Amino acid sequence: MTSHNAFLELAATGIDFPLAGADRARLERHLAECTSCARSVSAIRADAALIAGMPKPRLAEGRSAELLATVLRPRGLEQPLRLLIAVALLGLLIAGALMAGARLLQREADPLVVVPSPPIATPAASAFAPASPIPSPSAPSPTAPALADHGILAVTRGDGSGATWIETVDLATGTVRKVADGSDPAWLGRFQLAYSCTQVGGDFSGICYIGLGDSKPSTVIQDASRPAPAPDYRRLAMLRGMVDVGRTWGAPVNADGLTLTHIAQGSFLRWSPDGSSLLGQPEGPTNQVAVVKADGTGMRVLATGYDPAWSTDGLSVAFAVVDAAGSSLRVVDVASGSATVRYQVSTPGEVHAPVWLPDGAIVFVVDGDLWRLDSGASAPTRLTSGLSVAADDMAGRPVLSPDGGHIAFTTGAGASARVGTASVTGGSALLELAAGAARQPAWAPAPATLGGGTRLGDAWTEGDVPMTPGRPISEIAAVAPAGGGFVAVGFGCVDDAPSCEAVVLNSRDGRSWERAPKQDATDIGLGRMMSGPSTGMLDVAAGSPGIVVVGYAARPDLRATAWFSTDGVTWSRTRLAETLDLRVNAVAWDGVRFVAVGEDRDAATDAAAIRTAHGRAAVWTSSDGRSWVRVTGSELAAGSLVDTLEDPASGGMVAIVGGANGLVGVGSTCTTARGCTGAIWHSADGSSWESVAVPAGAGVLQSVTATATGYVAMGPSVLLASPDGQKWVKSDPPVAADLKALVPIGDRLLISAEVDHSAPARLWVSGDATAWMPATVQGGVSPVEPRMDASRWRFGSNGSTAVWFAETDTRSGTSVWWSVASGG
Amino acid sequence: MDPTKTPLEALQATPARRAAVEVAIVGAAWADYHDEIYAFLVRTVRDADAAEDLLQEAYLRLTRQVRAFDPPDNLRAWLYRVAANLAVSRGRRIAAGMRGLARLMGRQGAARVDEAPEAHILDREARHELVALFSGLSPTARAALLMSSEGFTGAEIALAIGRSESATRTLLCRARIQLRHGLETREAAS
Repeated sequence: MTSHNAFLELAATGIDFPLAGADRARLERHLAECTSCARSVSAIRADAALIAGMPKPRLAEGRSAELLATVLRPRGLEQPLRLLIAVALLGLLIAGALMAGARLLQREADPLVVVPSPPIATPAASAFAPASPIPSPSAPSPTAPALADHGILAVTRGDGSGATWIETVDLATGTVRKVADGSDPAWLGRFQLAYSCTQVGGDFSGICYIGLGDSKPSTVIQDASRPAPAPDYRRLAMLRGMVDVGRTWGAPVNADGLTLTHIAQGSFLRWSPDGSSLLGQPEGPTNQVAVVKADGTGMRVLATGYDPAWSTDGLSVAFAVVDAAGSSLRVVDVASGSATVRYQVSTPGEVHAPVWLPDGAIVFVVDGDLWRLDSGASAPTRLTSGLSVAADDMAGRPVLSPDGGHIAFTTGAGASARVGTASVTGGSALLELAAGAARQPAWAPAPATLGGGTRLGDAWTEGDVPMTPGRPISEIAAVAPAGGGFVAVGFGCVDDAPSCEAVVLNSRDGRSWERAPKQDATDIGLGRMMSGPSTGMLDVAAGSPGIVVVGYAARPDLRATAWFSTDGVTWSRTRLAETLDLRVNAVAWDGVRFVAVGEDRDAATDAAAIRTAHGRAAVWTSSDGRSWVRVTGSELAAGSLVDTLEDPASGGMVAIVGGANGLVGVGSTCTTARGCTGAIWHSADGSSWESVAVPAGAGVLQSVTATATGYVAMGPSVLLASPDGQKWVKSDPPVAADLKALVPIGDRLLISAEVDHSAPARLWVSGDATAWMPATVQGGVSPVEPRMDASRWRFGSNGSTAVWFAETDTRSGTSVWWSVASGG
Repeated sequence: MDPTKTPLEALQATPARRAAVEVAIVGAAWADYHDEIYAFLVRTVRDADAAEDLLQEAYLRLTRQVRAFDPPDNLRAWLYRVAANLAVSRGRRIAAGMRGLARLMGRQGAARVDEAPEAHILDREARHELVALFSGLSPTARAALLMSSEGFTGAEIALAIGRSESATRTLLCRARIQLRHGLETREAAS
């Protein structure tokens, strides 16, 4: 720093802080002698006045009143009294704001209103006997459930003008969201829909895939309709050519959607529960029920009839027949082809759209109502009355909820079509949506539908994070398996009292967590920088000596720090560096040693120095977690610093993992001229490192993990795979942008991604880092909500349990979710 | 009066009284300071919607303080401190979300942090170079400079933004010199 600069800084400091007498005198003397300095100091002081004179936005009058009303919103039982006082004072405080405030104090109307129809419980024995007319509904059962109280439906809406669009309806919360223009919604996991779409102007019709919250589809398959996802959501059957009796084609999901394969001549859109076969009707002059293998081979006609439906075990098919004897519901054994009449209808009504229940009962439509025929029963019971339940593809067929408790159906037709649900034990209700028709209900899948059981990472349930008064958790930065359980680390700052504490949470099972007590080592003091390092724990790894955490502590100064504990409860800490030019990002255990990685920025604080400075990756190793050695080597050089105003970026390692073929670190190299590009380093022992080639166009990398077959690295829009950590090739991510986290979950990998801040982030799992399947969330409230910042999600797995830290808009603070394998 | 209670607790002995006191204190603080706190927040976070949220949160915290019989002595300083912390925490969350990326992506990455989605507010108002340069500072630096322009001392600013006085001195000094250098560079270029 030049002496002139020193005086400028002294002058700038003097604006906000009193200068010592000697300093003030020294400054005044210098300014008297240095005209240019005096001019600069005068300008700096003038700048301060300019800042004070910058425009000061104001709230609109009405908005001001609304906000104040919210601030003073009454509580609980005292509401009427507080309401009166608050409104009265509002009137005194802000003229004209009374109406706006009062409006805000009113409870908003629930967007979803349930209009129950009388539940019907009809005695079975004589209700629907052969040769007798369909009976009138009997008295409603007072206890029969009506509208399903949970689950998510996708429905096709219409306004009578011919335009159709798809909305999702959350039955638990009443939330209704528009997804896209189109029809025929079919879920591709929990967070993505396939549907029939039409390009603006009608130039083509096809099938689109769209994520919930996305503004446009990710995949378009032209000249196709009626999407039918396989049970594992990896493949899609569809019709091409003539609708209804068209040609059935298949396509892989999560690929480009353009690799189509022909499956069969006819309409085969009903997947067997195991995904091996498709059920439908072949092209031909008569109605036939047939099965074909998913690869298009082995077509076999089972019977003459229509509306076939798989039993839940995949061994039988129910279907309808109309012949000289009238209409009947029949069941055919798939293996033997032996068919039996389950029910013969001698009334004018016809059987349509059978649906199997898990207990072997069959629900079907006769004369516009739903009836249930229990396994072994000779006569059905009526579930609905006078609802004109639709049974065709255009209006939508009755569909069973994932929990097997309700049937969603369409009632009415055309502009008056509506969607409702009926309990499989009787009783029904209609969804009251906004004006317009609703049809084609489709249930969002639940974990139970994922192939007879869930694997680790398929389904998540909320656990218990301790909330300690006065000890907030601002962020969980990392979670790792440790000692058979888990340890999660981060930081907590009290907003209106400037102090921060390193956060350590321990759990034996991933479900219930305990916070480590306050101690000197976790007192990290101030240090809330907007960019660059802030106080807090950033990453954690467990090895045979114990648990190591890296991050920053600001007592006595803000420096890269390593913490160590043998039990997760009592911690010690040591500085990794004596200057802030050395930054730490991540830590790993490779079976022999801990390795911490980060970056070395050189000492550069002003623009001129930054332009000529050099940064490089930084590595430290420790065999015991307590004492650390800095590893140096020219192989780690990472280019020039890039000036980002307050936060120079030098490149360096941001993630590290130990695998079968040594350590792999990923990050970037940066130069002022070309910015930052992806970088990968490999080391057999943590001491000697080499830079390895990164596939062209990979961009910066942010995560790396080891798998049974090698290593996988990830950047915001790229996946790379390597068998040895040294030779890398690109792999297909589930989506092409905004990838956030890559973590091993059991024997699979999990990726989270986010399209934008207004869209739900999503999860995928994969066994091979090439084929990705959406993961689902069970429980009352999904943590996957709009406006969530997926970049703050943290995952960890110990092989039997996976944990996921997130924040939701419906809860305050941090939530944890856990996943275990279950069932088949 | 119950001798075990503070005067404020005694004043709020009944629900009706509590409500009246709460409305009186918070309402008065709203009338006196919400305009300048809102302006401070908009210029700090550069997002009018976010500023509204933070303003509301700051006053909700004041309401909680009053309900806990512990209203702050210096309402204005207290509100600035809470508002600054909320703004900084918000920015920190964004920065934390971009951690590892912002640093890696150099200017482009930093621009993503700073520009999304709030930049348009000040951009629209950037009638002169200072405002443009000011918007390029970190939220912490902006909060500190704005508090300075409102007459707060360096020690008070340090308390508000959660840094030591030494770190705040460096922050303010760097920000002021950075602004000046930027202005001089633009003046020279033009």
